[in-house]
Amino acid sequence: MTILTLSTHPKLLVTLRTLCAVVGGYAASACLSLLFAQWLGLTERPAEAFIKMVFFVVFCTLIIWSFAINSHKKAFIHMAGLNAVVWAVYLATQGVSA
Amino acid sequence: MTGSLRQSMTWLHTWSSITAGWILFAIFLTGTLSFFRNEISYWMQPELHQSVPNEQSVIVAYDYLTENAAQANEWQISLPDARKNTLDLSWTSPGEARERRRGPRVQLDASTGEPLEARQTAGGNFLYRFHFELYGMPREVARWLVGIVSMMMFVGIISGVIMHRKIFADFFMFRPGKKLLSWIDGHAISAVLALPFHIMITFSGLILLGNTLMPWNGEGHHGGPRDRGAGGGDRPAAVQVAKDFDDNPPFDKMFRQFEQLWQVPVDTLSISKPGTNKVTYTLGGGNRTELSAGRGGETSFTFDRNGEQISTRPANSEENTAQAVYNYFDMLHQARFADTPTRWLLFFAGILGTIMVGTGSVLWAVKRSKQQMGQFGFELIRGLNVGTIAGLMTACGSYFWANRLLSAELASRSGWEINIFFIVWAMGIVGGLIWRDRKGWLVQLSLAGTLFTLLPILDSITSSTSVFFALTTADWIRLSFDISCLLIAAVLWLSVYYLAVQKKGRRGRNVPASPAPKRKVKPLKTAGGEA
Repeated sequence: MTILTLSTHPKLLVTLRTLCAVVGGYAASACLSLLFAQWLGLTERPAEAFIKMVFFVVFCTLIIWSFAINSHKKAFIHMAGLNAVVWAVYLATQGVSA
Repeated sequence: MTGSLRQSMTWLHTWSSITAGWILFAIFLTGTLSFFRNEISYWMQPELHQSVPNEQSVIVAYDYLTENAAQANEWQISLPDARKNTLDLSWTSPGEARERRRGPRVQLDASTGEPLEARQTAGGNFLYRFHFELYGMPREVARWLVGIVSMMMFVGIISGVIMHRKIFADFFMFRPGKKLLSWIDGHAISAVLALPFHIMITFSGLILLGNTLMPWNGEGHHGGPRDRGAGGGDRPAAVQVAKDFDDNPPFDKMFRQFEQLWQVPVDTLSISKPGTNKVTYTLGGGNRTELSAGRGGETSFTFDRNGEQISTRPANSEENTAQAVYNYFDMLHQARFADTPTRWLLFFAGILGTIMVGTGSVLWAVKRSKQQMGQFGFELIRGLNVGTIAGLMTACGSYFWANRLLSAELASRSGWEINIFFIVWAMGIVGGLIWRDRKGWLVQLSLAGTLFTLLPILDSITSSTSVFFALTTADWIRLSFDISCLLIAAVLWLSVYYLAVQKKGRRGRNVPASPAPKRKVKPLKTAGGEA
C-alpha cells in the first residue's frame, strides 16, 4: 500500500500516526532512558527509579514532538530515524561494555 | 498534526483527553477521596464513633494487653491520632512466628478499653484501590489500563499548556452565563489554578505504575547486588515464662522525651518482652520527618524498663539522588507526610482536577452540539458524560448510604456495598444514555445532591452516637466527613440551580441553545479528515 493510497484514508493515517507516536515513542524512550542511566553509572534500585522518572518525561515529549511535526510522512521518518540511532548507540555500548 | 503547532496540540489535547475522560474522572474522583481514606473508613464503621481518646489512652491499651496478652513476646499499640480515634492493638502469641499484619488484633475504645466490634466494610480502601486497580478485572490488566489513561492525561496536560495563548490571563477569566465560553473558562480555571498539582499527581501516579508499564525495568535488569535489607521477618517466639508487669510504666516521661527530640507526636508504641526485666519500649513518630527515604522516613526512640534511653533512630535519608527524588514523588502522591491542613489542600486540588476532567468532557459535547447533534458517536459521548459524571456522584452517595442501611450482620457485607456502588453507577449510565440532555443531568445531579445532603442526618440516626455527641466530643474526623458531604451537596445543588435557571432563561428570552464562541479554535484538518 503506497503513501498515495493511504492519503485517501485519513482515519487510517491518523491511526498510523498515533501508533507511530505511541509505539515508536515507547521504544525510543525506553532506549534513551536506559542509555541515560547507563551513562550516569546507575545500577539496580537507583537505576530503576531513575528510568521510571526519565522514561515518562521522554515518552511524553516524544509523543508531543511526533504530533507537532507538520507532515505524516516526516513524522514516520523522524520517529524511525530516532529509533534507529538510539538503538544502534545502545546496542553498540552494550557490545563495548560486554 | 498537519496544521500549526497550536492546532496540532489542540487536536492532541482534545483526543487524548476525551477518549480517556470518563475513566480519568472516576480515577481522579476516587483518588481525591482516597486522601481521606482512613477518615472515610472510620465514618463507615459507626461502632467506633463512641471512642473518645484522652491522655490516658496509652494506659488503657497497656492494661488491656496485660490482662489479655500477658504471655505475648511483643505488643504493638497504634495510638489515636488526627486520623483515627481508636486504639489498635496486636501482639505475637507464644509459639507463633513473628509476621507482619498477622497475629491477634483488637480495636479498643480509647477511653474505656472496651473492645469494639466494627462492621465489615470496604470503607475508604475500596475507593483507594479502585483509583489504581479498578475492580472486577485482573490486577495487571487494570494497572495497564490505568497507566495508559494516566499517560494520556499527562500528554493532555502538557499539550493543553502548549495550546494556550495566554495561560496567565486564564487565572482571572470566567464569563458566566455564556454557555460554551463559561465551560471553556471553567475548564481552564480548574486546570490552571492547580496546574503544578495536576502535573505532580499525574507524573507521580505514572511512576508508581512504572513496574507495570515498564516490565523490562524490573529486578535484576541493571546489574549489581540487590539490597534486600537485613534479615527476614520470621523469628521463633519466646517460650512461656513467668511475667512481672510494671503497674505504671513511665510513659509520660518517654513521650515527653520523644516529642522533644523529634518534634512529632508519638503514633505507635512497640513493647518487646513485656513483663520481663528485659522489656523495651519503642516509640514511633506519627509524621515523617524525612521524605527522601520513602517509607523509612519515620523516627523512633527506645527506652528500657525505667524509662531510660537505650537508643534513638533518626529517619533514614536516601543518599542516591535519583532514588531520593523518586521517593519524594512517591510520598507526595500518597500524601504520606501530610498533616490535616496539607491533606485538605491536596484534597481541594484533587477536586479541581476532577472538575477539570469533568468540564473537559462536557465542553467537548457542548462545542459540537450544533454540528453533530443526532449523530451516533456524539450522542453516545453525551450520554456517557451524564452517566459517568453525574452517575458516579450518585454511586458514591449510594455507597455511603448502603454502608449504613445494610444490616451490620449481613454476610459479605463489604461486597454488597461495592455491588450497590456499581449497580447504581450502571443505572446512571443507562439513564444517561436514555436521557442525554439537560433533563438527565438535572435528575441525576438532584439525586446525588439529595443523597449527600441527607448523609449527616443518616449518620446521626444510624451511628451508635449522634452527631451532637460528635460535636460535644470534638470528633473532627467524623464531623469533617459530614461537613464535606454538605459541601459536595452544595456544589451539586448549585449545578442543578444553574441548569434550571439556564433552561428558564432560554425559554423566557428565546436565546439560541449554543451562542457562537468568540474564542473559537480552528478544527484540525487531516488530509481530508476532520478534527
